[in-house]
Amino acid sequence: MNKPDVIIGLEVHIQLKSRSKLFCPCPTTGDDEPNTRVCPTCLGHPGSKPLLNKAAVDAAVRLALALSSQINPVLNFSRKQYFYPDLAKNYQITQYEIPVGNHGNITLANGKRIDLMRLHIEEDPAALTHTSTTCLIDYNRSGIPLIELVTEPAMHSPDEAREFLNTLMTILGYLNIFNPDEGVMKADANVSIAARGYTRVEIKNILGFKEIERALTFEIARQRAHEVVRETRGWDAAAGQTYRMRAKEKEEDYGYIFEPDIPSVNISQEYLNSIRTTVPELPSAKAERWVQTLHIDPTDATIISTELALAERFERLAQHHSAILVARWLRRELLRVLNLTGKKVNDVAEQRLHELFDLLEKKTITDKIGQQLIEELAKKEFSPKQRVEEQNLGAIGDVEAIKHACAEEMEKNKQAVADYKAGEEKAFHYLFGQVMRAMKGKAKPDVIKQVLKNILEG
Amino acid sequence: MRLTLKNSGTTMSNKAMLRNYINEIRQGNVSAEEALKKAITSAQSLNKKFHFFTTPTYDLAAKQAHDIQHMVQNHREPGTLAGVAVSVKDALCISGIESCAGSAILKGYKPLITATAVTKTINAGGCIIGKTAQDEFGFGGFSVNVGHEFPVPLNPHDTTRSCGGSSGGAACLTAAADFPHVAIAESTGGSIVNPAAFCGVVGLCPTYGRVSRFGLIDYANSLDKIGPVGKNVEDVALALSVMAGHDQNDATSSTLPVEDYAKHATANKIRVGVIKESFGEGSDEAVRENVRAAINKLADAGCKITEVTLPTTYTYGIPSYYLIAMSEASTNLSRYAGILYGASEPLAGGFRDYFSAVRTKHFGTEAKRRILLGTFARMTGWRDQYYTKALQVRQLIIKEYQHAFSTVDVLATPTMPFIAPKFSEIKDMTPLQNYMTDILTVGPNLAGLPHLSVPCAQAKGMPVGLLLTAPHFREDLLFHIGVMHEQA
Amino acid sequence: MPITKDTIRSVAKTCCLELTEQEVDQFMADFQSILDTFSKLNDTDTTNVPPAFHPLPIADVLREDIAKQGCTPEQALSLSKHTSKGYFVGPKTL
Repeated sequence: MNKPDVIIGLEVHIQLKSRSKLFCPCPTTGDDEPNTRVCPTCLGHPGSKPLLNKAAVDAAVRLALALSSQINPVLNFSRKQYFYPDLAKNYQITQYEIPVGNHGNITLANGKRIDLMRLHIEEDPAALTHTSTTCLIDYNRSGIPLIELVTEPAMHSPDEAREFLNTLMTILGYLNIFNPDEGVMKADANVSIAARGYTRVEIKNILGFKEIERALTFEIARQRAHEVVRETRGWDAAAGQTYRMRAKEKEEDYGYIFEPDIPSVNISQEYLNSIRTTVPELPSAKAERWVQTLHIDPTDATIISTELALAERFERLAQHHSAILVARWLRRELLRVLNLTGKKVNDVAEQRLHELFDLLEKKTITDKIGQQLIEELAKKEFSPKQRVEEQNLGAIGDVEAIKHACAEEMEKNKQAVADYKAGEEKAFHYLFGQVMRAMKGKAKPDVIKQVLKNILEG
Repeated sequence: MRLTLKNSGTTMSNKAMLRNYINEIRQGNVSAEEALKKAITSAQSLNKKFHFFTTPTYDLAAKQAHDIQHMVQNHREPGTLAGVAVSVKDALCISGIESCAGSAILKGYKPLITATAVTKTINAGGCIIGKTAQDEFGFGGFSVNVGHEFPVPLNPHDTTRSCGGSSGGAACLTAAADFPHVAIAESTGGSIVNPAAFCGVVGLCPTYGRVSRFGLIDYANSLDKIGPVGKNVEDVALALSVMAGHDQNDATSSTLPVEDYAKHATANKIRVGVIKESFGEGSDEAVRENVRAAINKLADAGCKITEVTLPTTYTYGIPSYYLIAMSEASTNLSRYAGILYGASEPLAGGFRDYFSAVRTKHFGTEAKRRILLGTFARMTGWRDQYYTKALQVRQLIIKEYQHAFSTVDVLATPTMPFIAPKFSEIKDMTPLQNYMTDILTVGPNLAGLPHLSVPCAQAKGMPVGLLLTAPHFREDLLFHIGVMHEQA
Repeated sequence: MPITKDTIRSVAKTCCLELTEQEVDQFMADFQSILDTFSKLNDTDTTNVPPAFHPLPIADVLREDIAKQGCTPEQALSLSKHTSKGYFVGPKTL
């Protein structure tokens, strides 16, 4: 087997959605003024004690189950000790020997399976703002629950790495354990290329999946152009380049010990079963099922499955309408207008989509009118059925009326008629468009085509 | 200087002194305010002689006494420790009161929290009279390893001798006090019973988790226990009953209900196991003789005495204890770096330079030694053979005690292998020799077993302690046999 | 196991302590004698013996996810000498 040209592994840090911090009741969201959501525990005061948040354990186990990880029967926490101004205690409480889960995998849209090494819970350090001579420290972030997820070095392009994070984000959304508006997802990437003997470079702190592709693309190009040494680099998003942070001669020694203030947590079968019932069918499985059983377009399936609210809406609508039609309209039209208006899936009332798809399915209205209606629906709720009746938007199949319109448009566009007769197929589409416009989008397209063809060739 | 103390014996009147005093306060016959005024005056003059306080809190005690007095006058329940002067080891945080664990790196630190054991004591009517001297962070057995400008307490029986440690100030004050008082102390490897034995008072280190550690400035979290020191077993039992119990702020605190310690255990014929190894050559002949005599008296009082052997505990207890304690301590102490609280220096240089400057200047030598050793013991390449191995050996030691308790109810040994040493002798001891002096106390501390030191005799004019150890959560049994000893 | 001056210096660096040459010598001697004694732990057979993280079994103590305000920024900052505009100020990291 050929060795791959590029090898990429990721270490992803995900801020979990919880009301309180990992080891203290301080709120995770709210006042953003510095040091307003702190207490003796997340400030590392002597005598304070960590108290483990059950919601964080539940979330980590839910993710581990969703990723088919092997879940360990006992959770322990450890102290990872190193000095840095963002650590209140100069150690981080994390999991070392035995994480929540080992192994597991994520399947990308193209069907490729990315294997995982481990998944564990840890606390976020404080946020630093650097000045030239000091750093400003805000402990609001200190103690926010994080999941660290480590992949095998199993990706072979920046595109795949982005796709991985994208898919992971979708899964987190399905599991309802990550809030993309409030939470932060950060990745460290290790990357090496064949041409440099796979000398490994680590890139720290890449924020979000949009940056990962840029950072890796830059780094791979850099490695192709320059000598590579084993080192840790940072990612400067503004400058669009990686920069050297430090050499990495040997692994740092964190002097891990067991965290004696946090008793072990037993993960019983009973507990696992109760969590398992909260894990929904994952997007890739859903998409595959839809293609197999509902015969919808695979691209439509993948796109609709990436958002849980949309996926659930699709499944409900598809019970009453043609799944292919629903898929096409949700993906091409609904997502288009949501994008345009910045609205969310649930902002458009489902009942109105039912009406709309009913009108489309029965060909009561044309696609063109359907597009107009869905655009309106994204702005304000109304009954499409009523609107079609009131404003007389029903599809026109009246051959005489269409004949009349065709004659008028041919009269206005003599050049186009001439072009068509000279063999230019494009001219036909132009004329078709003009007729449709004249009929305000309401004419049945197949009737226009028939009539137009008959006149032109008659 | 040699001092004979009025209250250092165990007369019957002395025994009931605290109980009678509390009754008088509760009934309004004695004014708590007046009593505390006297206590404070006395403590002030005693402290000048013996240096047991890092921070006296006389104003706090006076205010609390005033509140008690007010409650009594208004027929409100003043609590089971009403009007008793309570001293608190410096390592226990009291909100707004300087709490340093005897370390210069915490000089001036006024915590935002109060240790649960202290809160419970205050709620029971205790009046906090001061923070007591200790070895820095608990690192020592003689209270000489104190931070820069912190007091070294002197033994009230002979001020050229140590009070023991690390809760030296607690035992010192308890021995010296001529007013109703109990001390809240703390033990990691013997720091309650060691000074209790050297000062001729009673010290109880409870089962791990019996008293909440919330608010305790950590030495080694898997070993630290808070417990009382008093003039007699009854006082100590009373103080423990106030402090003990589950606390949701400490995940390791036990949810088991607290026994009624005033009742004592009902045991017909208590089986006392004398640990063979504790009477070896390493200890003082006079100490051994006195402790044997005390055990013989227990036999006369109806106990069944047998000999047991704990070879693993006595061979490997010291290294297992120190490696675990130092490993945990070295992480606990990493937080002292001059940013959030405690000692700081002008900000200069990179973060490592700054942290090093603060830590180098403000930690004492023994603290540095333990940080270095603890850091080493958990480094890659050494962790398995030191830190992890020590935890495995601890398991063997726990099992060895479990086995011993299958045939006996209580274990008996001397508390310390010798009487309180002179400061001049301590100066010549190497660190290793220092560590080895904990040989009799590390076992029950590693296994988290409750243990009680009661004064049993005098040797060369200095007190000798008898150490009794019981299974987990059998403090009641210790109090029962402790009272038997006092009455024998 | 021989402990060298470099061992002591490297450990001291890891835990952010500066040592004088005299201290390096002293701690090296301490390490040597203490670790020699402590190494006898390795005479014990601990095959299949799980480490005792606590003296007695304690497990499954979790907190419900309920948020509660901790201390005020003023309280937190009042303990430090290095603060500015609501922030703690630390040493530079680069």
